[in-house]
Amino acid sequence: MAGEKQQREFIEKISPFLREKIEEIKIKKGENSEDYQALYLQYAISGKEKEQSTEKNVRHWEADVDIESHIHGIERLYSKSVVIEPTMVCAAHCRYCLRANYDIFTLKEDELINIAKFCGSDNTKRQVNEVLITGGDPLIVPKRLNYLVEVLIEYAPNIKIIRIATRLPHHDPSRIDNNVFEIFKKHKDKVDFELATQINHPAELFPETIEIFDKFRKMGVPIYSQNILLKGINDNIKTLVCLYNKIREIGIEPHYLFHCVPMRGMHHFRTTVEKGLRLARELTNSGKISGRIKPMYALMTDIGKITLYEGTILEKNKERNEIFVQSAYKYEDRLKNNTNWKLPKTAEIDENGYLRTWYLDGED
Amino acid sequence: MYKLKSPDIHASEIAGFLNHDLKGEDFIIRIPSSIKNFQDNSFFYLLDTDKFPIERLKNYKNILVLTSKNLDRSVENFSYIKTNSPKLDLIRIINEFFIEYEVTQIASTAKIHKDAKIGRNVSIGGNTVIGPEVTIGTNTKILNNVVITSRVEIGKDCIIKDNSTIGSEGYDFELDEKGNPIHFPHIGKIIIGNNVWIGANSSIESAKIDNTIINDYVKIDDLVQIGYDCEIGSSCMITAGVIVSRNVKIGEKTLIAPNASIRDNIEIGKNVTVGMGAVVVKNIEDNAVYVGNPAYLLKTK
Ligand code: SF4
Repeated sequence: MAGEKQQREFIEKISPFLREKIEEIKIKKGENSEDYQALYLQYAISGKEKEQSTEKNVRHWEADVDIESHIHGIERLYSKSVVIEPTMVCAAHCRYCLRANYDIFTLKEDELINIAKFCGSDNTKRQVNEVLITGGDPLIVPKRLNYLVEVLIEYAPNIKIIRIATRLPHHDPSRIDNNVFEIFKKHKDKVDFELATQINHPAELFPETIEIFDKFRKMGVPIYSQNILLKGINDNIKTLVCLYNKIREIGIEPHYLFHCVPMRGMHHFRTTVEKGLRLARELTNSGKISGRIKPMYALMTDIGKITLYEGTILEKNKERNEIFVQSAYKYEDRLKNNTNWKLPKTAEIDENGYLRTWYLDGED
Repeated sequence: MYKLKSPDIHASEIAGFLNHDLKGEDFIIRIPSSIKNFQDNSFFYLLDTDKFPIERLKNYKNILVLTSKNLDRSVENFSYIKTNSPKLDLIRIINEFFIEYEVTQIASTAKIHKDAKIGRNVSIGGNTVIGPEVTIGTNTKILNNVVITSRVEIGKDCIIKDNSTIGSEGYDFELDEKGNPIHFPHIGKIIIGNNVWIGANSSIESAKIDNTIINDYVKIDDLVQIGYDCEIGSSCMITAGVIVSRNVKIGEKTLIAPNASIRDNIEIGKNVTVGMGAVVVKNIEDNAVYVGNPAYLLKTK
């Protein structure tokens, strides 16, 4: 099983579809064009990944749930939902991927049954009514994904919402065929599906990609996009406005706009949190995009996602280039949700029992 | 049932799917091939008994080998994945990446009685007839021209191929006082488990009073006859042309080779192999191999 794998080397992997698109844009618009750079930087391996930097983490947070000893592929951090990773394989490698340093594995049927049983167990079912199936890219193994959905329906009828996260519409839309669409059609009387995706630059919205999103929408599957602020790709207001207007046009809902996570090999993609705040303010408070497409600007911290509001940043440590952020997560709730959870070294509990954490800032 | 597709897949994706390492370069593969006929950008399985065809391989680019052996990679146009079950893994890869299944649907020409109980995601092909006392489980696929009548329960994830007949009256006659055969009405049930495969043009007779039982994972080939009141143990494989007379009990994981005939009221044990064309006229114990006419014990397993 997965345990026999070694930690992966995050090789450069660009699907033939993306290669063709990148080449096309290079010929049409040139190597210095924004569109070319936006795609190239997202997928081409860069020497900068190996440069020394303060970003040392290889995992974004620890929230593994121990169903059987060492079982991979399930995390629980929040009260309402569980995260399932049926495969860590993707059709292309996004260089800023959160899971760049994770082992590669694909869960077998019996492991998926264990996960489904966990989701429907007495302890979990009281609170959890939704799962996020991510990875990796679950749409590249539709048969396994279908199996997971079926066993969730069978063993965890408390699960009412299944979110499925994918970049396959960008990486290789031709791989999304009836095998995938059937999963969404077959089970829609039992669960509500939502498709989660990530679109960081308007150049990623290829006609074939839009066609796939269109098909999902026509089947009644809501689609939302959580995007990442990436230096040199979308860290300017013109691109962000264009991106969100386009996303709106094709009927995709906004979700988070994440500050790029502080992990090894990603320094060159990370702006300051402050720059992101400025951009998010302008994006959402200037009337340049529809009110229906405003994202929430958030950080992926060691204690989970923290959306930035007035007063979220408590303190800055210039020397360490870190900010101290306040969450509304309660320590006791965390332990209730996942008894394996441990308070990270960067975090503390405030006088009211809420979690706060240090977060490594980027550079402009 | 499906069509073959030819996507661009990195060999490393296959390795990640199988939870094994890729030995050698990563490249794109598009199609399965066999050890006899290679194609560029394809993959095949090599069994322990196969000789590694390294000379022939030199003429091709980007071949992925599934094998349980360590291969010499002095020729670098191939990569390999070491696995204990190369053939099984090839099946898994084809199923997951290279086949597009037909969309689940009930054909407009199918005749399904309003009282039949059809589970979720069941496919029913053209001209298939389903009677009132039939129950069909989730995900089962019934192809074209199938006739399912009488009292039949079919489990989930089964495949019933074209032209098969399930629940036709058993061939059971009693002679009356004048010596004319009178049919015994078969009022029993047929119970078919989960993941059962019933081949094209095969027939399973309804039971007299009790049940005809086909247990989970039984795989019945094309042109097979299963008589009434039989019980076929789980994971048995019954190949083409086999005739199983009435009231035969076959233990689990038994293989009946093509054209064998089994006499009525016989019991065959578990994990038995019955050879091609064998005529079984007496009970067979577990773990035995029987061949010939009349069938005799060739060896024990
Ligand atoms: S598709 Fe998602 S999981 Fe895969 S490399 Fe990209 S960001 Fe990471």
